[in-house]
Amino acid sequence: MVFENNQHEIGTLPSIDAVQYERVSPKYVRARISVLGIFFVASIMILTILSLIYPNYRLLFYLLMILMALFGSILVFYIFKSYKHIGVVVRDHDIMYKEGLWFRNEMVITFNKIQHIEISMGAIERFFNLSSLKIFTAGGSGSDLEIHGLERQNAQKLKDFILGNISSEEE
Amino acid sequence: MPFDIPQRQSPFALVLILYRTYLLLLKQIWPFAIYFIIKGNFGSKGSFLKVFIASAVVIMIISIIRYFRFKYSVVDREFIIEKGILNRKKTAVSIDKIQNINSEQNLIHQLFGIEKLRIETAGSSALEFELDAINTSKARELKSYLLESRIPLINDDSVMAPIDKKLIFKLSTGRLMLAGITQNHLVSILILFSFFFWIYDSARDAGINVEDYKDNIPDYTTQVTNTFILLALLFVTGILISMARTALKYYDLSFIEENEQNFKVKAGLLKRMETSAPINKIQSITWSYNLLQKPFNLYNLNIRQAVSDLRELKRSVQIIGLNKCQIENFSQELYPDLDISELTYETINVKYLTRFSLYFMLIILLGILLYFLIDGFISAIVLVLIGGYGILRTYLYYLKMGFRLDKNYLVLTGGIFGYKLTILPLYRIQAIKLLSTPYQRRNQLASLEIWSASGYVKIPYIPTMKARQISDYCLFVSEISQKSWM
Repeated sequence: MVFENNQHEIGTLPSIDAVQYERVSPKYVRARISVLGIFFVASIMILTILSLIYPNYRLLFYLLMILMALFGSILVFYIFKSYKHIGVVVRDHDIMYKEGLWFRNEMVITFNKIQHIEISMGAIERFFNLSSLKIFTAGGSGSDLEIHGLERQNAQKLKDFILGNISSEEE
Repeated sequence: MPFDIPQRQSPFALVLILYRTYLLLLKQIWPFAIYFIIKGNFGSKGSFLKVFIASAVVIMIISIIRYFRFKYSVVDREFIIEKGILNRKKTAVSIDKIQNINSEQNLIHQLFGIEKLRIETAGSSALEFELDAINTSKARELKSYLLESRIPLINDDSVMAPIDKKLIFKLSTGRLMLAGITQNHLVSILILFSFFFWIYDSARDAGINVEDYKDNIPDYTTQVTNTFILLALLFVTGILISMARTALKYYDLSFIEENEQNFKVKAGLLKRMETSAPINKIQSITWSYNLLQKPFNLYNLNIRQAVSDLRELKRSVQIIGLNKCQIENFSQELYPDLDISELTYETINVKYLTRFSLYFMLIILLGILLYFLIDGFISAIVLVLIGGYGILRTYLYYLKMGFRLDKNYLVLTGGIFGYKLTILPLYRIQAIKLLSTPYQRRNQLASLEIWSASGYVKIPYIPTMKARQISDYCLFVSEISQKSWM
């Protein structure tokens, strides 16, 4: 590889401000809500059965159901709201990811320090044809990155692109 | 080829394996054992004793088989270990991938003239080998054979030039004692306390009721005096223990520059450790002193290497008892293009102090409320103390936290009661996180976490603009770097 060392004017240095984040697949919201829904329906069923078995504590079980419904609706609200704040950017030398509605977290991983990449698919994700991409770095899981809710073929493309960049930088 | 025939470890390895497994067994069953011994009852017809002896025999047989089935060899530039009792497992790693070979000698090792070798490789921790016990001379031979026959990865920034070993630092006994006295003793006192409670709990589990002995305590004043004596004893023992630990761990410490590529640290009295730190694996260095160490000019140096798992960080190279001049010389040698004495540091935003002080004020307020509402004197005192300590900590942290982005380095100062300085070369950076809470965003502030292969450093509460500039610059330097970073 030819070593290049071009001069950069400070004003033209690549800046994170200038990037445009891309959202993950909108189906990701549906996938998360489905998981929540399955959990919710299962718990309601269990609580109903319990209230039939122990009629003395019926009131308690109803209260629990109401609480769960409340908590569930807050979570649904959160899932909808936070979707807009999930974003991915792929650049020449790094990948950027952001998430979080209240507590925001923007992360950048440079390609030349990536150890390996994994694509995984849960049952629900498979149903929606979605994949998760996990990027591993050295030194523990703190700087690893997991991107959920990517279209299956996009995840594969992203993986190939990053791997291609890693090997070209190592030449 | 000296190692192409598979060979076993030294026969003493068998002793070690047995010793270790029996110790493990003993650790599991000792509360029961004490219970049975105190009761003088070994079950019907001594059934407990029989079970114990039977399991000891089984363990012995398994250990012997395991010893005979464990073989190592070097074939075709690969280091191979074969082991397994029923299904034989063969693990091989290419010699070129070996990064470090560290050796360790505890008292038993020293008595029998054997050594434990740990072979570290690049990549996952699953590919790390341990040889429990091989003869010291054979260990030397294997070590030099493996390290010399590998083809080193070519670094464009360094030329292999074997030079004579250079002793950078040797810890004198006087400095060792001084360092021992000025250690942070709180940790060992806490450990002692928890050990105390653990014994108490275990004794109760084993059926000894400690409460039964309560009746023997005569009156209130004696009780108070006894408690004080006990506390003082615990305190003194704690200090003695941490002094002894320091002395044992760092006895005869020497810090050697093996060649241009590698540093080595040897230390320990009962357990002799030899750890190497190849320069291209060193991610960052930190030096520090606490309040007690400051007047004696005692510095601790921590060399952080790339790890495959952060839990391994406790294995990072730690050197104590250095003085300021030695520290500065070392940093000059490792990072020649950084002049640490010329640096001035930027501070974090004062909102860090006000925000966290507010939280701790709330805790104090809660304590005062508790006192007036439910007359909870003890809980009020505890809450006020926690709050007060929290504010003091926050204030000191805010006061001492500083950072400087140099051309090729990020330098951070900090510490709470003591002092701490970390140097991270920018080309080691692998990821950067920018974190913000709603409060921070309202004030255009953010916190930065800068990750290398040995964990992260954090700069909290700086202007978002500044954070982005730092982040952009760090990434730029890291991404154009061609140097090998681990």
